[in-house]
Amino acid sequence: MKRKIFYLLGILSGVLSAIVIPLDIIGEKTAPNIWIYANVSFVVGSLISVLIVFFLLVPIKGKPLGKYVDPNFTRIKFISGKAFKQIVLMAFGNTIASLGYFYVLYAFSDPSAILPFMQAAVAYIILCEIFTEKDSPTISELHAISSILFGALLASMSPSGNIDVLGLIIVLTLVNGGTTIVALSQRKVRSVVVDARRYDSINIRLWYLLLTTLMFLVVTYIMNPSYVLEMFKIGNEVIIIVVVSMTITFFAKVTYIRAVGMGKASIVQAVSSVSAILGIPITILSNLLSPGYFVEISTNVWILIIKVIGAVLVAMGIILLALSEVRAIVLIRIRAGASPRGILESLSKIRGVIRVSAVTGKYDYVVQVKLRTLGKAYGLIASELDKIKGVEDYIWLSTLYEWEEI
Amino acid sequence: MSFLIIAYVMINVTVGKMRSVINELKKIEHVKSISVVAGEYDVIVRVHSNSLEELFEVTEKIHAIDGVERTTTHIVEKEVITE
Repeated sequence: MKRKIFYLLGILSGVLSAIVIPLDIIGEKTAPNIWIYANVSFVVGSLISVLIVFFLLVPIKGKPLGKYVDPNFTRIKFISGKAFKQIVLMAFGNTIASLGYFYVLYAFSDPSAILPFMQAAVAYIILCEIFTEKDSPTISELHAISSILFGALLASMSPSGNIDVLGLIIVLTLVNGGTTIVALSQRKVRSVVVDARRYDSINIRLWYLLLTTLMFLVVTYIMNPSYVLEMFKIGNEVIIIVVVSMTITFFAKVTYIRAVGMGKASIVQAVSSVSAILGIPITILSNLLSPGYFVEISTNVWILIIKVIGAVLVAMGIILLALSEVRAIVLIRIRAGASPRGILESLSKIRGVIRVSAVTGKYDYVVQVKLRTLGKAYGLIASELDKIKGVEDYIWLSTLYEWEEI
Repeated sequence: MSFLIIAYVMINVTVGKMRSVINELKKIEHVKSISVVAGEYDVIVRVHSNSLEELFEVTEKIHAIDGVERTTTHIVEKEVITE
């Protein structure tokens, strides 16, 4: 059940973000300048987010409406301390990614051909995880990463059969780099527990967007003050496009953050990368609905076939990653006289350990473990347990099935 | 503000009753997560209750499920979440 909802949220987030791209293309063509459009997007987006959050405060059957979106939601909460630092990092990552995104939207003839490469960010996140684990990647991880990267490359082919190298580089460095920062710090915010509760996705999204807007306005003001000042002269049609686009984005992000709270960031990113596949039908559809705004769809069957092959490769990489994850519960007994506090700390420092509980009873600790592959169980967990002084005995219980109330 | 009492209930299940035991466990209030594992126990349930009395009620309900052979309850004293 949990798994189904997790995947559903991931896919929904991908679908929603894919719909936003053609909307932004139309908006950018309607507005006088891309950076004015970007600023209007952020400011209107922030206003909409604040409005939506107030709407989510409305109580229904004694519970605020937002509780149905995220059970952790209770009220508007300032994010403080350790979590605030992560929110600032998220906003910083998003500012960089957005600068890249809007530039690609403006500078290249067919952005919907290059933007699917944003999905390759998942490969960056895994590489970061591998790097922090100081561990060599397994062959299946290499397989998945290369499948996603090559797949996205093929799917990015433009109708004329070219791949826009400069556009790709911008997406690969600015957009994906920023996205990776956002995804990694997002997970850290979610893991901060205050009063036995985690921060909810609605508050995270709200504060993160407000901070991003502030940073983005500052950056564009430095580029050219008129980008900020001329925002107020913008036409109504642009405002309407922005309102629709930002409302969809808000829900795309909430579903995304919600999914990240339930599972590994890399897998959420992987699942939501269905938008890479959706890029093709959505461009065709938007071309039919509003012709003139988009590049002609290629009538060359071979280019379409190559794009479909690319999309399938991305999907295969995603499935490979999602299926190889392993979870286990390790029960530990300690020797009499060993320091429980010290052991609790040593256990929580082991990579792959997601939760350590000191318990009463036959065993002293219940440790929850999550690994990308079972092959890492010895190197990461078992050999580390052997090193901790005071651990007398442990049993490894591999999880075969899991359900969680959400 | 009530205190949150977290506990792990380790369950041994009669062979052949796993599916129905899981379905019954899902219906019990305060059951936060259910993991089916391979090893000494068959199912590990995480319970979030507001008092020891409530925890007792939960374990009582678990005992009443047809197919539950034995349970062992571990109450959490301290917890570190690293993810």
